[in-house]
Amino acid sequence: MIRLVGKQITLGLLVVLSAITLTFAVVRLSGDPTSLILPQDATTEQRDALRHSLGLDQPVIVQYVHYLGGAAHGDFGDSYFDGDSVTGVIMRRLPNTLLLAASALLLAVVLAIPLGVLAAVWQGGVLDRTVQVISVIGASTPSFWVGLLLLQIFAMQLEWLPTYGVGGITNLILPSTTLALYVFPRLARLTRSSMLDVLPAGFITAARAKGMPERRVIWRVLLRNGIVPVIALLALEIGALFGGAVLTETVFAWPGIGQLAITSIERRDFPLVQGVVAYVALIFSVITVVAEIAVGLANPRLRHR
Amino acid sequence: MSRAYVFVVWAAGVILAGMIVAALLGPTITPYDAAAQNLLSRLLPPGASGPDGRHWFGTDALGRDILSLIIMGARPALFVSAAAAAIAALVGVLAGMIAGFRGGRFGDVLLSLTNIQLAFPFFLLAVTVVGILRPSTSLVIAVIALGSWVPFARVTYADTQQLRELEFIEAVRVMRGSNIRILFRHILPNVLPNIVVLSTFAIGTAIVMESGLSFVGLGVPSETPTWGRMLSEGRDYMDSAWWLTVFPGAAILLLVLVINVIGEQLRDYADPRIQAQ
Repeated sequence: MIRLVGKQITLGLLVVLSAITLTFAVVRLSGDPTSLILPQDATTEQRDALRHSLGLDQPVIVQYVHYLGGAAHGDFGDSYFDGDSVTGVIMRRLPNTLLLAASALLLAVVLAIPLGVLAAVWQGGVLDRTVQVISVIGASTPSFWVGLLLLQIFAMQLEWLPTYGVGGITNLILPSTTLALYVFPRLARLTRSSMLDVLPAGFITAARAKGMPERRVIWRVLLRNGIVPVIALLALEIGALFGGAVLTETVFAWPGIGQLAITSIERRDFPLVQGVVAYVALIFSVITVVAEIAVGLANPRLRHR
Repeated sequence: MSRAYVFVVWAAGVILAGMIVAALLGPTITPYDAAAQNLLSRLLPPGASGPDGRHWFGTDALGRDILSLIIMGARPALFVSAAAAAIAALVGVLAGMIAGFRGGRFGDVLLSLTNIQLAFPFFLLAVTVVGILRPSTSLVIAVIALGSWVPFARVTYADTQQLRELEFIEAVRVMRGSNIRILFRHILPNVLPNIVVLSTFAIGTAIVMESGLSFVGLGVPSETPTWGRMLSEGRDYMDSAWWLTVFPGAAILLLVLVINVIGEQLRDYADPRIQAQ
């Protein structure tokens, strides 16, 4: 298990490094940032001075090493737009995204796992077919459109819920439902197929044969044995949540880092964009390592590897 | 397979064919000139008539006919997704076949690469790359292809690894068939069914991804708005003109849904294990 976790940590570091490298390369490819910061009529001397102070007159490889060195200390430079430190801006926004992602994940898990289990237990039944139809339709729907529809129905027509921004718990309902519906189809499907894999196992028959109540067989024995692939998928789904948060936050004007990425791109505030990508990669890598440990704890057979 | 399900699959095929034909014919079948603005018929609700006639899906804030815009929007949606899926399939299949055939270190490198890529919220990366380099049709296609090659590579890798151990491959080798010959004449035809299945799903995913990019203003540039851009334009009128956000989204849902239904059906054909059940 230590080896597996070690492998996951290496992979995580590689993910963060490639994310930082990719955005660095793309920004360098996009041209001269001094034209973004300075007014149109700036003189050549002013441009050279800025280029020097930003270190842009050095070879690209030196800039890269310098950038990496800063990143290792959590220093991603300052925003072009208002001069705030990138890490500071991201840390102010991050709690909003984490709150949104966590509540969406909780909602999706609470819905998808019981439904997936029951769909497997009653394979071919009405619930099973309903879950399958819903998951095919859900997988075909752009989640931001679901968000727009929810907004239109519950906030604008019925006026039950607020439309935009953060505030009380009511502001959280629509964005987190939107994001949860985005994750739900895959989660329900995987839970179902994973339970179907476990159902024919001997220990299920044994539990039934010794007279264990069916409810206990399903929610204790079956669920505990079939849940391992679902936990592994959850880690990947958290990544999908951060990706989906970009659009969901834009739809609901939710001031998280997804919306920050979009507004920074519109303002061409590159240090901020790079910072968001790097932090998301980092958070996500940490989550995958935690999930790897969780899988190990859930499945004793993996513990000794 | 139940009769209702057969009907659903057939209906999906007919709808998909219809949408492809509509996209190909484009301007010749749109009821109005999609790009034509008419301030006298702004924001007409569905079914209402303006000075120039009836608009079944209503009009937008510039007086453009929504139905015509949706028909025109099918073009970039299908073109971008098909191109991206084709590139992804080409790259993924080649990488997967070579890594699977050579095995060893090639396989390790490929699997690590795919692991790194899977371990990242791809949409954020797509937004970043397209946003910084500024959107163009080829860039959007390239980025979506970059986000779609992994399943092709993994499945082809696994299939090739299994196939290369089989006797008929050994027979080709005994007859001094070259590696190239083995790969393209004997292994490729055997992985092809899975590739076709993956391609349909990849096209569906690509349509959703492109619409998301368009929604935040980073989609393919086009004369008339793409479906994603229509949704983004409709956002400003959501409390008064629901049809601006409902119809383009429904078009995306319908197209992707029929593609996925056909994909599921193809998967049942391609995978004999499922057929046996």
